[in-house]
Amino acid sequence: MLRLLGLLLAAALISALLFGACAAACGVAVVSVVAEEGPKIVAPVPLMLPLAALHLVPDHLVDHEIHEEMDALEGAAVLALGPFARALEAAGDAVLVRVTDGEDQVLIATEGDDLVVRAREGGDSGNRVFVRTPLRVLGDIGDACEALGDSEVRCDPLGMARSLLSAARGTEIEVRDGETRVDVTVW
Amino acid sequence: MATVALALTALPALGQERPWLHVQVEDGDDNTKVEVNLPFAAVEALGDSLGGHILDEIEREWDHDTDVDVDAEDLQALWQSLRDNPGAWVTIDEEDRGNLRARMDGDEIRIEGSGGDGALDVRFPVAFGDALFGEEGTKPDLAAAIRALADHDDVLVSVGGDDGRVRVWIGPR
Repeated sequence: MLRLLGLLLAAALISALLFGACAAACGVAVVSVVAEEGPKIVAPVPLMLPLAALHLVPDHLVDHEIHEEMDALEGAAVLALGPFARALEAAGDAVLVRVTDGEDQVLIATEGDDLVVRAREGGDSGNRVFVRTPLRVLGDIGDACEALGDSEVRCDPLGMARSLLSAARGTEIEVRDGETRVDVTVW
Repeated sequence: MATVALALTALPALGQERPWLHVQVEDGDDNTKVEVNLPFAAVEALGDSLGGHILDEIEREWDHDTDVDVDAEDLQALWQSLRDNPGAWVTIDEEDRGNLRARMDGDEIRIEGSGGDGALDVRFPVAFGDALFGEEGTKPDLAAAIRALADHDDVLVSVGGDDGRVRVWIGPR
């Protein structure tokens, strides 16, 4: 009986270690939600979960969404992401897009090796969205696709997801809507 | 020695910053402003990947919307005839409604217009047309045409009036 219990404990320990190692290898997104009323919620989400979920999606659904719905121009745009991102990275820090409408502003910039998006509604004290993600996320999405002939582009959805998740380390998302604040940090 | 020679060759490139493409749009009615700044190398990367597909899309739209049959050879012939006849191509002067002039001025194509609603100024290097339409027997090449703009350190398009203003130019960061 004691031997069986020992075996079960060892199996549980190994499983926990494997899960922990796998989660650490894939990364963890820490989601924090602070609402005006209610408790503060902090939830670590291992990024291996969406990868595992993607394995469960039937192939024909992924094929339809990614390949049959993508025309030649869209496919070429995906392939252009890599060289486009590398050119941005080589050019150094810059404000790429700034849209100003009264007190509302959207700003897309490169800072170091990151792409940063800042959106502000209603001045400094209003709602805001902030996203920082490594520029190589764009390149990695493009690199998971390849051109077949002149007009067809094939993408490996699992490869795209893996690249996206591995490159997403260092991604920060901050959303403030009134008194509610959501932060996501990928480690 | 080879390293020193290599370093000396690289020196001019260090001093010369690569150009950027700038776009500014201002809406006179609601004071909205849009500003886009892209390193020209990124624009070239987009042109290399998307240029051929964009021209295919334009050709499809043209075939769908019009009955006029125009192929690459017609465009090359038209471009060559314009190229062989520099000077004023189009001049329209209407006292009440404004004027429009299209001409080839040295190594630049200029389209200028003005009227009650505002003014138009378009400047493209002749090299852009040469690269776009290419030589006989070749397909139009948008990627090459975009690359030909890299040395155009000037305004490409400027349209402005009371309602707003659009300005596209290539220049330093």
